[in-house]
Amino acid sequence: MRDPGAGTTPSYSVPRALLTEPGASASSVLRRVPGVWVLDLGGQGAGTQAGIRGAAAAQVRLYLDGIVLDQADGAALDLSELPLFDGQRLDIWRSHAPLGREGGIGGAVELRSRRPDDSEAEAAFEAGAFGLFKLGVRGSYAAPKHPVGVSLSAELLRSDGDFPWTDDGGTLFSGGDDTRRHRTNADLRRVTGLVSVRGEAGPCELSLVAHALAQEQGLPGPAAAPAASARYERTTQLTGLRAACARGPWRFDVSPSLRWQRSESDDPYGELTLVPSLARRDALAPALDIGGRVALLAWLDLGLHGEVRHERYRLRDARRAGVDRTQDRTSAAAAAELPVAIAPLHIRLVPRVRVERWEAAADDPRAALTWQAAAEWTGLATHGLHVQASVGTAIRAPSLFELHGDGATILAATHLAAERALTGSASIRYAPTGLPAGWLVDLELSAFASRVDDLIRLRRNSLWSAVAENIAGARLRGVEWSLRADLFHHLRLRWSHTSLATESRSGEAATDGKQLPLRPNQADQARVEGYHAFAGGTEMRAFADLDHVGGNTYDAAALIEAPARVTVSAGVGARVALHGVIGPSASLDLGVGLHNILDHHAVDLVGYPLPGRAWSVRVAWLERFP
Amino acid sequence: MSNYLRILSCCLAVATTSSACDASSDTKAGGVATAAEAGMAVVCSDYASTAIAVLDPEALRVTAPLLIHSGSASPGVLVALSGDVTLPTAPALGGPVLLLDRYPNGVVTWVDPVSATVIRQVDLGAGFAPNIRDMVATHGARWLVTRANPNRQPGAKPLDRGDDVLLIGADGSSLASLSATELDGFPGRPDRLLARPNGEVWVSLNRASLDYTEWLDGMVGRVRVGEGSTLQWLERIAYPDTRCCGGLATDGVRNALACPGSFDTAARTVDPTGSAVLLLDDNAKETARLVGSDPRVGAAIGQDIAMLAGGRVALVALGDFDGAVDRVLAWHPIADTVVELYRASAPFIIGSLATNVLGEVVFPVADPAKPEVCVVDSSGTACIPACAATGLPPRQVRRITRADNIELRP
Repeated sequence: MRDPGAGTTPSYSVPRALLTEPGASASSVLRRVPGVWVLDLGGQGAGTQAGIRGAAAAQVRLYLDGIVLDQADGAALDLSELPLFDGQRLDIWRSHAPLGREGGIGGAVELRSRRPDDSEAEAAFEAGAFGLFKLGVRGSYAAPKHPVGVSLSAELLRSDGDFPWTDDGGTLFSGGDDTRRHRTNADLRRVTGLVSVRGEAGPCELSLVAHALAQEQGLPGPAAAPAASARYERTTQLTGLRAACARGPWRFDVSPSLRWQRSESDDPYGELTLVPSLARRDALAPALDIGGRVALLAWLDLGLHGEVRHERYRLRDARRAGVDRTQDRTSAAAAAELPVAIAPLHIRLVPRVRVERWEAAADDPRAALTWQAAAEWTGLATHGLHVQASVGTAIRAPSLFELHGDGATILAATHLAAERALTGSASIRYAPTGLPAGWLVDLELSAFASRVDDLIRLRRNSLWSAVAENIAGARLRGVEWSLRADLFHHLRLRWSHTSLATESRSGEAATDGKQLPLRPNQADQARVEGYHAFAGGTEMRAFADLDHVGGNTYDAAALIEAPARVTVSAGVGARVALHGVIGPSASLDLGVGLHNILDHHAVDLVGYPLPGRAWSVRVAWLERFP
Repeated sequence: MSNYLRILSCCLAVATTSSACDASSDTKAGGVATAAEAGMAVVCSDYASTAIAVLDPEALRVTAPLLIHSGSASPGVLVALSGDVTLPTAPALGGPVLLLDRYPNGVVTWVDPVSATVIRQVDLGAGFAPNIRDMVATHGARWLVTRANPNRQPGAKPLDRGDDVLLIGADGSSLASLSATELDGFPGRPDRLLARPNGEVWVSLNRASLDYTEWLDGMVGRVRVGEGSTLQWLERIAYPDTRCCGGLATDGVRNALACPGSFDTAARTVDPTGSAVLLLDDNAKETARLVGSDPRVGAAIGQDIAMLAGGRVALVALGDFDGAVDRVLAWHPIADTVVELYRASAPFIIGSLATNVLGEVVFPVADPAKPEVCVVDSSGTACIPACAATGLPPRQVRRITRADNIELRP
């Protein structure tokens, strides 16, 4: 739960309003972020992954209130499980993350939940197409004269996921035989909960956050070979404590946490993996995160960060004799940075080194040293101009899955080396001052280039088996910009753009020099919103979204070119300020969204259709207490 | 474990297929003869995307480097060709290249090798993954197709139930289905097809349960195709102690059947006695057998076989993850000798076998760094980069026209 340190790494933040608007999902939210590419397998609970600046999802560190979610056994993290209802904001650091969130080749993503800073009660209801139903409740209490607060929240999500899609039967050369089908066995039931407590003890702020999730869902499989019987259950629990203390020039915090998961996938007929399975996976990961910062001199700070994590995974399969194995990995990292302010030049330099070590029972311990140097120029900060640049290295240790396989279709590759990356990036942010009251213009332009070596890739050696290997590498470079504006007291504009160029350096005849698959070469997300704010806090708004995803390739050989696509969405909403039923004030949020109005049918991954046109309606009541 | 995986991929025939029947077709090639029309088609694939090339195996040159590929049409939910495309055992009537897009697409595509255009496409899945295994022309401009997977979707129509031999018309419409499912519901999983001179068609049957945990002795079924779109089992012959029988080949005199062996998902082992190559007479009765546990083989046998000159049978001894590499062997059933023709540099890279007009073995070597198609003749091994247009590893070679001057008979 440690807040990231004050580095020079800019973040892109998605505010709560966008996390909770009608139809919002991890996929739709992350697509708004410049530099982020999303892989959505279609519909609620179908699975969502995201990479940053061409880096794979596994190269991005993911946090929930400071608790690391990435897993040493390599199990994919489904971003659709992030509890957006509880979210205060979603932070994305591209390429270089600040101290406390460092270590990822692609950067880091963190969802921060709401703190119990106010006394209020909230109930939110959302309904939508394809059986979508969400019901969320939250209550929080903040002692008026004491620094104590507590909140509890819960959300129920249900979705049938039975959206229609166009089945071309695989006969793309023969027109007229397309049929409309509905996804089946794609239903989802999910309950999430959050408890958040904060208090103070002397110079220290204490807090506790506990997340829990339980879900049951179907696994529909690829559209051309639908799985009628495969089901999946998952239960997770995250608990983190934090003590953050400050005295004089010292700041220090310590955050122990515990992550526990249990999942069970039932594929009785081998519809998904050909061989029937009833696999249960248990994961337990205690961790300790420590950070500190001290102002050594007026112009010199010292920042420290350490993390230790032990992960234990047990995989059993009731339908496969002999599949019962337990794997452990202990990882530790220590990082130090020394920010130096050169006042006459308005420059702040932040050099950093990081050492990480990982050890598993079956492997020799390994270690790696990485570094980063960042610089920030604030010479025109008073005019709203910030310039930042970073360069540094990062690694990703091979997962236990990549090293030891899954005992079935993924084979062991114990010789794997860690992925290594050298990345440089720069950004210019301009938020002019002196604008009329209530106006905002925030423009950011950034660019990066990255060289990644020893990339780990699963290579198929038959249709049903694959082995991980280090391919020679890849080269990534790109440009992004984002615009946020609030003009004329009635107009809000948001636009983010990504241009990305990737090139494989695999040394293989089929892939060398080709574009990396699934990374769109361009993406744009734009919103135009008109609004009117009434006296007393009531506001009405209407918006239109345009989502453009540029071309990319679906395969490593770059034979299959994915066409560019444009989707259009729109919505209206109102926030009505009212007298509270119990408390002195309340607000009623109403929102209606129409998504993918043109009913454009597309896929992020071949075989997994995305929903077409959809609707959603959300009503939320927030009661504030004294 | 390693054998399990290898056999898993092989037996389910989604990664490798055999080459056979090069001399068995009584069809006649038509159209304008071009360099691309003659010879063999090559499936180049990394199991994610696929490209088809055409080569002249006698001259050892590529005549059509990129006939069609996965990106030849703008993708929808599916793509033009998936990563699991194979060629039928026997050449097609009239010279088109037939592509069996097996799993999960379940599509047959006819491609004109001269103009490189798609003549026709037929979806034989109808909402399920049929796992098309083979296709052969029969009289009346009709086709027989094997579908190894049953349709588990509720309410499937009689012609869409899968696990069958399907008769389709010239326009691709389904005419009749001959279920391979046994009376107790055990799937027959029909695999390769072999058209016989007497009008019969032989069908090899894998005989694996729905969950691939139970196996029965491999079989060949003799099928009669009636004039009135009727299909009938004449006889089904079981071969004791064989598993997952698939590859069929003939030189017009002798017939051979390959049975790679089963894998047991519970024990995760391969039954060594289930892997064999069988020599069959004209009634599909077994006359000779070479088993994988034979010291001269010492490995599970691949599902592809080919008939060579001199009455020999070419087979692949599969490598494994413990250091053994793929090998191409020649078995002479009469003399009962086994000779090694080729030793690969790695396991899992020899996907199929075929024969050129000289009765020499032709096979793909799917080395990602050096993908080639090779021919073993009396002077040694010669190879060409048949998939150079895409760089994809070659997985399968099959003759696409009848070689009239083929000399295979002993």
